[in-house]
Amino acid sequence: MKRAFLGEFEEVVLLTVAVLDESAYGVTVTQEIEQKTGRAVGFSTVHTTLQRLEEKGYLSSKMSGATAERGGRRKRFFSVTAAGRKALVDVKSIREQLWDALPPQTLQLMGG
Amino acid sequence: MNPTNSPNHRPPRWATALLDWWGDPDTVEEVQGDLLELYDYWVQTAGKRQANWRYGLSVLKLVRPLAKPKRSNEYASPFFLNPDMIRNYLKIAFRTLVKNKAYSTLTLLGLAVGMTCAILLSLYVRDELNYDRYHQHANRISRLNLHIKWEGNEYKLGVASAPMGPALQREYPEIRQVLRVQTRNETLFRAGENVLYAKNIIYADSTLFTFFDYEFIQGSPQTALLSPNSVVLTQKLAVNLFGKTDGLLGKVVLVKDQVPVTVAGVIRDAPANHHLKFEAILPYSNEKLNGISQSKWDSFNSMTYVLLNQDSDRGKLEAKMPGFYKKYIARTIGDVVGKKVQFDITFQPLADMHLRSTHLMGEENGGNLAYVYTFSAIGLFILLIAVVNYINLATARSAGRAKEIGVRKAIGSLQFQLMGQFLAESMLLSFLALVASLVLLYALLPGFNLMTAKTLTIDLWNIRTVLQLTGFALVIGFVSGLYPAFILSRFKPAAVLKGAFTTSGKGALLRKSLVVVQFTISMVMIVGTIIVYRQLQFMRHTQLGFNQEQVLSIPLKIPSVQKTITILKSKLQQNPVIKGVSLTNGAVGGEINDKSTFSFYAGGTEQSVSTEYFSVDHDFLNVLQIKLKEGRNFSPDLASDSAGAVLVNEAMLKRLGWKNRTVGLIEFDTKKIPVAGVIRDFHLRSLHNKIEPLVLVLHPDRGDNLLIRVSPQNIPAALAYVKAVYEEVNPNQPFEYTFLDQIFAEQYRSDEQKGGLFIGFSGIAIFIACLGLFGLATFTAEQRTKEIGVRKVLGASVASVVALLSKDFLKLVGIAILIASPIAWYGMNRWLQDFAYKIDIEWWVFALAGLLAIGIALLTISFQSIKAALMNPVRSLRSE
Repeated sequence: MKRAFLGEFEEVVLLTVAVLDESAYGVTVTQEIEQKTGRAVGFSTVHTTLQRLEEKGYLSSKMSGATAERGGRRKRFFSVTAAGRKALVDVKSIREQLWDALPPQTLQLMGG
Repeated sequence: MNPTNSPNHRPPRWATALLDWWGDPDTVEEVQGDLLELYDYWVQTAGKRQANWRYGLSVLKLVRPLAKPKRSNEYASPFFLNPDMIRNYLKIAFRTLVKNKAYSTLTLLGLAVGMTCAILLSLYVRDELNYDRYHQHANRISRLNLHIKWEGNEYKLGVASAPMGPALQREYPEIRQVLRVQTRNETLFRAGENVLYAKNIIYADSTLFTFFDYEFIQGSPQTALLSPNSVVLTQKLAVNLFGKTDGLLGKVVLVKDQVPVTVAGVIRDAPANHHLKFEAILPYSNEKLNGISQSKWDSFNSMTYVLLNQDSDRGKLEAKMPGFYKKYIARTIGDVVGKKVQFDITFQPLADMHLRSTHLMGEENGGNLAYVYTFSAIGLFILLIAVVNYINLATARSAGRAKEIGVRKAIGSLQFQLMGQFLAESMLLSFLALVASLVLLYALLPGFNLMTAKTLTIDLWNIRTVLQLTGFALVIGFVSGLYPAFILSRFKPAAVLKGAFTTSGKGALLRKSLVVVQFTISMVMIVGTIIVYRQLQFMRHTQLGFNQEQVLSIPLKIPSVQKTITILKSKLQQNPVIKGVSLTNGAVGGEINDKSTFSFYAGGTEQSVSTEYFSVDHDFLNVLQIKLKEGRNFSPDLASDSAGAVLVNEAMLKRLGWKNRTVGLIEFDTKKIPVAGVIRDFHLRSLHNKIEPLVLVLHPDRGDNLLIRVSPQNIPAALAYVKAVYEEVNPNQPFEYTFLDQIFAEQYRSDEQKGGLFIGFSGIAIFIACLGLFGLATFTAEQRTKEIGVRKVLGASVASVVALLSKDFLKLVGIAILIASPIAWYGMNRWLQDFAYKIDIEWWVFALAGLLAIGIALLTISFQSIKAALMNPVRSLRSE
């Protein structure tokens, strides 16, 4: 079976979209990442990543919610697809396998 | 998230614009929205500067200038020049045309007539402009023009003297070859039994065939004129003389019943747009035939052409001419004139000869550049009027189509597609008009050719002609359709469909100005027509100073005939139907006679006057009924007269400044003799020419022209008698005659031709303008149906309604008259400058033209306005 490939930032974005659930669109995703990771991320980076994830089939999107604040422009809301969820789960299980394989003394050292 | 909507915080405009242009079209909407939201957030959290910076940076990173939309729009508009769309435009256009038959016919008729005129006139103008341009060396050929001035005498000549040409060639290496040509008319040719007068012939150097391209049927251009006893016949003369064009080389032709020459070539008749007109070419070198003295420097009688090595040499050569004059000519003509002479030699390019020679003596009635301009302008104006018709009618009809446009726009039509639609309509009309005008052209061209004495043709199998005509129709369609298309396609669908739309204001000003333009042009043409007509009438009816009616003119160009003159004259006088016979050397009417310089002596001073002269016999004044002012006529009873006697005209006295003939003496045959008498001025030629000083010399038995006054009661009998006597005295000689009044009428033919053209095309211009006015009046009346209904219900009379409808148009015509009058005055004044004797332009001409214009406009409008005014108001108000 072909394994999903997710870059680190892609994983963060995908997770953020999953976290935001219904209200994931460009702005919220950018702000969420900034607040949760403390990382200064550019909007353009987030936008292109969202696009790429959609192309890979991990995200789906639909336009809705025109508001006056945005000059009547609609928002593109993203939601995680089944493939996306599977990819996230895959990544997580790999991480967990690796963590589990870690010798206890090393774990203590790191935690120390 | 809590965005503030403060108007103070606007992201940098350049970045927003950049995103607008070059953002990825698939995502640009949400990107713009997201960025706007983030911008507010950034302003709040990081300050305006930081926000601007981040916003700009993000935009720059998101620019995708090459991106194309990947998602296709389900309801996309096709490109407005898509073939399917074009097919649709044409189909709709065709349906619209068929639906509005009256309107379509009006525009189509106007356009077709306008196009016909424009094509006809462009053919005419192109022919005039293309004179002599077809020769291989055309741009390197120039003709010598002379401008000679001395003591109040002035000549502008297109001819030079015989020795000038060869001298030029010897002197200047930049001249490759020289050609001298002398034209003559009425020359007798005899071949066996056949004898006839060739109307025009030329004497030419053998270089003629290098200068001009003639097509040889027999013989070769290299050898044709080498021998002084050769002749080259045109196809026409060959057929008339021999009945065929082949096998003629070496045949002998007797010229003037004097000199036998052998046929060395037969050429096709030169095209009509060649400036030399002739039926035969004889060698310039045959002095016995042509009597040209090859060494006389002061006898200007031969057109002299030079073929330069390069076109650019002309200016340099002209600069050397004063030197040439000093070296060769000054001394030789100084002997004759003995006075300080201004003598300018210029080189006129071959292509200019036809249209730019009217200032030259003897070529006043040739092609005229002013007419080329005038006819081009008329063609353009007629076309303009037709195009204006279309524009006016199309915009006037916009109300009727507003709903259609509204619906089209509402279901998604774009402005470009609507413009395409309307342009298709005008193109379709324009091409239909082209087809109609080609049919018209084929019908009219023969008549037009007859009128203009040209041989214009239009060759539809020629790809260039087809392309030109297609281009022409395209341009006309585009020009006439563009403005209406632009106006109509701009309608706001919401306003139109709500019914809140009226056209009264839309384009009204433009429409009015266009009507003014049309009627200005028409008015100028009406004034022009009246003045041209009056000038032609004036020329035809002005007293010439002698009686030109019932005078026969018979050429006596053959020496053997000239010897029989005394017998001929006395025999003719025996019959009472002959009122008088006079022998002259030189022609009344027709071509310019020889000029000579006479010296007059009064009070110890000498005055030389260069003037036309002819020798006449005792009966000249009686036959032409020319009146004497003072002194006496020549008398056969005075012995002193036979030794030499002269008459002068009034103009000569005026020129000399003499009070009467007894003030001084004239030198004649090296003797100083008194002037025998002074005759009243008479017109020797058409009214284009001023009456110049004239000297009549007595030569009772020498001449080449017989003037016979016949009894007006029985002209055919008189003619038969003259013919019988002539043939009895000169058996085996052709008898030719013309009437003097015909010769004069002939001189006005070119004027009448152009006058006729002008009048005809003016009529057409007015006709087309009226078509447009008619259409416009129809639509105005239609638009105001309701208004008229209400007015009638409230008690308006028919007359007041008609006045209401006509008033607006008449105002426009009035303005047009005001604008047109000065233009017409200026233009016609310029035209009249061509005539030495002319009518005055009087104020009533403008009044008449104005009344005519108003009358025509009223007539055109009245049909519609009366119809509208008579309509039953019940009918117009019933439907709402």
